[in-house]
Amino acid sequence: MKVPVEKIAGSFRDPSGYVFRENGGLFRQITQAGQNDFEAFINSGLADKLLDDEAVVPFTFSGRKEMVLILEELPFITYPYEWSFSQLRDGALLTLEIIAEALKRGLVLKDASAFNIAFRKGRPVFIDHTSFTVYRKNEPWCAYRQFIMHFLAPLLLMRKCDLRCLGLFRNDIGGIPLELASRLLPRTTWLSPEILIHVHLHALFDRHVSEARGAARKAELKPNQLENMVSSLHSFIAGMRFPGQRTAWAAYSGSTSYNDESFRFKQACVDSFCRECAPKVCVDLGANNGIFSETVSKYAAVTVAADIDPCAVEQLYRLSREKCPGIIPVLLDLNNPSPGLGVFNGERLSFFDRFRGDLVLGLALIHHLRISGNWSLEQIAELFARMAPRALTEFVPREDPQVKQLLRGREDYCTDWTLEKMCAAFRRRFARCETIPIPGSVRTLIRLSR
Amino acid sequence: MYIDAGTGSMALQAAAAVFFTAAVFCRQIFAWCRGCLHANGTEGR
Repeated sequence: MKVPVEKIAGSFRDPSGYVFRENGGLFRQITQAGQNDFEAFINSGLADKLLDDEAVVPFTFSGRKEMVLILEELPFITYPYEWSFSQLRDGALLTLEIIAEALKRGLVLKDASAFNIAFRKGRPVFIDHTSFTVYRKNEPWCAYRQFIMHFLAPLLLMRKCDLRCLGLFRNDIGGIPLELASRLLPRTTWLSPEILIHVHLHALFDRHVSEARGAARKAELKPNQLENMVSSLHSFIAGMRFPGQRTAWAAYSGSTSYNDESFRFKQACVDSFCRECAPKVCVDLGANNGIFSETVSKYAAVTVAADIDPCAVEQLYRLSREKCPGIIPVLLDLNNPSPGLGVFNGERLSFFDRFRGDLVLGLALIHHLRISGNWSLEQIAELFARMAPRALTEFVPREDPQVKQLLRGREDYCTDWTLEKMCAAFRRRFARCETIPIPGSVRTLIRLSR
Repeated sequence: MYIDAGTGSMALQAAAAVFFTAAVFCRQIFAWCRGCLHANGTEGR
């Protein structure tokens, strides 16, 4: 067998196949162990159906002797702990729709990991082509527990407790433990039959039913009962609405600090810079409601719209679904970005290891990094230089009401927060640093290129 | 990928099968009733 050039670290767990990179292309090797299941996936017509529905990442056969698929490469992969509520819900619904379709053709999903979902053209898409196996009659769904830990438990915690509960996923990439979910959910949830069964009783069964009692041997579920379970989970999850929590940035709009004329000027500058750069992949840091991500997405094939606020990411996801499919929303705290996780910290890559772009937007952002985050000017310049060769950012001076508010009670803090010093730090990293004052405002746009 | 299906999880599915069937049945009845009400409501228009 030909030795792959670069095996993707995240796919090592699956004995049926792995993903590798060769000569700049992305491939999936189907191993001997996974050959029968994969042939069943193809021959049953499920692969064609899912490809037609754009429910799985497109692939073609490489024509090599070994079973190797050529995969369409997604420009940016986000992980479940970086999603909004609706992204996780839509990922759950897609997984259930896929298993329902698979069951009709005598197949079943052998795993139901949220990491098998990515976002493409504003929609969730299933990325693991080797997750399908032949359904053995009367056998319960082996991935049911994983589905609850990866999808239903975090959704319920976000809905019933707090949107920030999704962060628990970062602690345990195997999913939120059932016992923990059961303990964290409010007591009133014991009155909901669905939550009672799928989470609370599930946690009790998980703890008290063991192999020794022979429960696994006896457990049987008729095919129609399994279909009913999938269907009932689907309608329960489909009925879950975004909880609409009050967060610091939920009602904030990028335009609040400007009069109409200044705002139009700023938007025109962003538009002309993006047109000039014609980026393939752009990141908008602190994207908020996506007003500038939308502008960039006219020129960029992909715009990664990052924000710290779960409500803002929810808005960004709606924008990507309804209007701008090139936008990929991501929940990102620049003070604590997603780290490398899993085995050797290489299974799930850190945000900075994943992003390779041509342009960075950081509008109304850097004063927060300097004043609230206590970043040095050098670190701010490094952030932009690390991410892309070109950048557009905005300097908000001490006289601005937003900065005055940040500095309230500590007016002598951050004495280096001046346009000159910020530009000097940028010039150490970028060959060109141009400033454009915004008329009718004290703010200044800064264009950077290497 | 190999995952731990969980003995308790498999047993729960079998134990709760009746509930899932009942849930789907109730939903069908509900949809049917709603359909009838809707049909009656629009009949006289």
